[in-house]
Amino acid sequence: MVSDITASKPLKTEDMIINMGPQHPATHGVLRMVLTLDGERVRHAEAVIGHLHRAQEWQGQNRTWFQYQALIDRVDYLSGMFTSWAMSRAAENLEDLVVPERAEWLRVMVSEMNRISSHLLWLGTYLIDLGAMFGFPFYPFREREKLLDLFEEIAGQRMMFNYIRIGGVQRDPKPEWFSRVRAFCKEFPDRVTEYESIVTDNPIFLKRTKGIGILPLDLAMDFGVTGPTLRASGNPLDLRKTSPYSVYPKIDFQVHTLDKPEGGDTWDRYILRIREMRESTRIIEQCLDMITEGPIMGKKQIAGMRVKAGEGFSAIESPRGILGCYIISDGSDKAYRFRWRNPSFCNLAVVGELLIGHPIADIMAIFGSVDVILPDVDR
Amino acid sequence: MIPNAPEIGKLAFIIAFWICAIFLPVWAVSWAVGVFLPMIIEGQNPGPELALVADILRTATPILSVLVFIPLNAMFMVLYERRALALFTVRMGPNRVGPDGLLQTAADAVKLLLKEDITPRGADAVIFTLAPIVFFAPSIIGILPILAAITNNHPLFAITNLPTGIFFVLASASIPLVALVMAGWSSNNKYSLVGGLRAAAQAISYEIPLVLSLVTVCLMAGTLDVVKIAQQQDGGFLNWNILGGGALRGLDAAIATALKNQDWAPVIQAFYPYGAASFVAAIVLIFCSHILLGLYLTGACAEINRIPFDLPEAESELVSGYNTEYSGMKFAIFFLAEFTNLFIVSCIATVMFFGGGDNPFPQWFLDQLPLAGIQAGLGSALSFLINDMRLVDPDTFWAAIWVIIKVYSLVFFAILIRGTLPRFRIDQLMDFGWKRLVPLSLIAFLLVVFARVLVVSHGY
Amino acid sequence: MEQYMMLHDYVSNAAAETALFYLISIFAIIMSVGVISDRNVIRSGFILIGVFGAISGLFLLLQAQFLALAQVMIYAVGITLVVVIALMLTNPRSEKDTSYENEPVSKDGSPISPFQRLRLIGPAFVGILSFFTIYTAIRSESWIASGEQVSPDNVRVLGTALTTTYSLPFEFASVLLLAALIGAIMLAKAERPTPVIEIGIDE
Repeated sequence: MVSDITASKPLKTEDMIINMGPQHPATHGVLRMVLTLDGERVRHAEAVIGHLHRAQEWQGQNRTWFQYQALIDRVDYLSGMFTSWAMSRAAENLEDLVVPERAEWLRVMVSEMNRISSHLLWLGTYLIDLGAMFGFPFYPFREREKLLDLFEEIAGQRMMFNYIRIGGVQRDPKPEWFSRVRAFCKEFPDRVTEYESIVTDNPIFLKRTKGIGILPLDLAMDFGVTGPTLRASGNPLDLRKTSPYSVYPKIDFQVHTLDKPEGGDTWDRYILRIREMRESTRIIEQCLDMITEGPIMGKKQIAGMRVKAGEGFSAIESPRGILGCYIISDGSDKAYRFRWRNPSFCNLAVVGELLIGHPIADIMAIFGSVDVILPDVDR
Repeated sequence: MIPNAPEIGKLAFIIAFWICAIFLPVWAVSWAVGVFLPMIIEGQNPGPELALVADILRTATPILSVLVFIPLNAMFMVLYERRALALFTVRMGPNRVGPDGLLQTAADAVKLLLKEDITPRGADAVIFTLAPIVFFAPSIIGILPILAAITNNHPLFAITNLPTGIFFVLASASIPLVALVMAGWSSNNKYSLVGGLRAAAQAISYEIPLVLSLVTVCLMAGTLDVVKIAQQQDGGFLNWNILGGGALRGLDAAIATALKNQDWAPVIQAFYPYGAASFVAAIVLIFCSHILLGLYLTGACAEINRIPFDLPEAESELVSGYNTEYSGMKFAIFFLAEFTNLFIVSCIATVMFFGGGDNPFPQWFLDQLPLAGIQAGLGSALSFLINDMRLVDPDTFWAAIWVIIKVYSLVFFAILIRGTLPRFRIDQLMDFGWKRLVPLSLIAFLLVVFARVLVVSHGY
Repeated sequence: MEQYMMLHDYVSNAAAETALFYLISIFAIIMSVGVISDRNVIRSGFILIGVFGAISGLFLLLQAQFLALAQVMIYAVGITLVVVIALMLTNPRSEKDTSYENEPVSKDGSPISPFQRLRLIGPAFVGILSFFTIYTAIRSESWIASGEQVSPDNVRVLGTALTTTYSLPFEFASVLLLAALIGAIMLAKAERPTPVIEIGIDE
């Protein structure tokens, strides 16, 4: 009997093509994904990008250096410190400009704080992606709010900081600011423990994330994936350690990586970001101890600011991966050519491969775990 | 000590305000029309036509009052849920419209009423319009026997009491499923269709543990009549079905007497005449009824599509599931029915597991308090209201208080779960339903049957 | 107060009962006609649910509360809904070619064979025949209506009857259902191997 049933011809099925986004509530903005589904399982996924293209590179070529500095934060709105740092470093490399040491300490400090705030926002929205719509997502935002208050105090802005400038940083914080940062660092590890107590061992969370969206190391390397997503798959590539810049060599910190031969799943990417937040707190505390007195700006900030002719490149480790900026200057007050290397763009490319074979419900679990910021993809 | 104590206080204030401002007028009006007016008419020794009018008033008022009560209650629950979620998530919640945000849902309702009612192109207009109606109507029908049970068979609702009580509730609770599939299919939207199909698959799977757990409770109680089930659990929390459905009946009083007399032999004599077997049976009954409550709450969460089982309207996957294409009043009806279903589910749990309108204190404890004197004094002072006008009898009054506390505690628990857990995946949900809950409910059923046979010392 | 007609007297009044019966029956018949005449299979499935609902109303009229509720729960919601969902999943639109629209003329224009003609009138013939058979059966038999009052606790009566007098047929029915369940599981298991999640570059 059974053999009769199995011998009969298989049921004819049809693939269903579903258009997910750009107005789908879960696509983190304006990503559009064309999914070919076999039942509930993804057979093919294609990300259609460009809905948020603002021609950041072209704008850089058509505005003066001073004007463009105010726009850079918008390349990746969650880690504005990093984008402005990458551009400033590229210009400084071009000019062989030596940044004052206090400015370097401040840069490391604010950018590590920015890394924490970016990861916190990721944590909250990722839980929303998994369907915890109302409770937990607000807890990370509580801490992020404190960080944004600190940013507001030094930069006058909560998201578009415009704090790191070519040659240094914009403003020297008051002494109270440092004590508030120290208070935050003292309290924050407990908060992370609190998040972990709710999320990490939650059985539903484990069911939704363990063994889902496994990214093998060679696939990640093929697609140029960087950042926590790559480190969760086992490659300890972190520019802060592998090609140290700024004052990172003086700081004692650890690059977390997970040694998984088959590749990291979404839970690995989650736990790696949690560990990175703890590590960033350590870095900030060391900065507070080791920061030196001195000037904070090595270049005069005027509207007609010029950069020497030549080529400059810099790559730094942003919360999402390696953020590169390449500049050609012809010595005028505008750049001749700009080029960004955005981590989200490369990380998004691999999502289509990760989705294959997974049900629809896992799409957002996987896509969220890669931490793609759409403005960073489209520029 | 508690950092958000003021917020908790405000939540309590909201509940008290709504009960005073909304529920009491509804109760008063329906009492006046359904009890008082017929009584006046019949007191005049009227002709047959007027007597019929009185009879119609008496019969129709409970149903009409439910029609008024349910939307108001749903509006209250929306506000309650939003404030409670705000409490869990260190936020303020809606606090701008009206005093302390009390009119927020009224404003939302007006907004939804004024919105354009869109029927998408290519949709099956008739079924698209019918779906919210089919979704909402059974909630109103299904709550009627439960109302009789939670008002302790008050004359107003006595007519809605049915011998098939809980079966009637379950049957009417299964009809909304059709509406979900109708809404999903008629919307002409792939996300809606998938949402509707998921709703059907999920509800059919989780109805089995849900119904089995309630059937087991009916087995413990020996009847399907919800009023009888509620009344059987009178006399303190030890008699509630959550503690084995009377397996511990009278134990507290016996212990109290034993403590006074320092003589434990009567307790053992009275409760375990057959030794260990009946003791084990009582333990098994208590254990099983906890499992049954867990099964019921899980199944009910899945039936009414709440997190972690809100797969049919999973926002991160299906936009909004079956109600993606709905707007304006039709969407409002879906919304209303969802909260009403949550209320009904909590009411069923209250009646089936937590003693209905019973107060949690055992009778011997109440006897020690000077309550009896107060109650007698009140009773004589209000005897005109109680005996002549049948406005409140003390039983109904206290039952109402306890029911409100119990039902909204259960709703609070559901909100707490919603504020904590992520969502299941559809295949994991099905696995959990069929491979864990269904066998567990069958095992619990069998255990309860055996234990009921073993509890011979103080059964019914 | 006994001399007045109360509301429940009106409801249980024979005339009111008859009127209600006709109302529900006409509703049920209209819906049944809708089921067979609707071009959309899924919509006729939904109408079928309405038919079952109307039939449960008839049961309610006969004071058979339990049967009415079981009708709603099992037939209307359980079985018919599953059928509707199965229809949705198999996408009946792709089988349009075999519908009766194309029947009278065969595809290559050749004359219709007698067999095809039989397929057209066959169902109508069987339907009319069965209707008249049932009609004459009902009319010819002299039905004995017992004057016995319907027990208000008819669930208990039903339960007692099922577990004492009719326990053997009841058990047979449950064995039948079990067999159907096992058969369904076998079919489902044989159809589909366990899905393998493939990770890697899609060729």
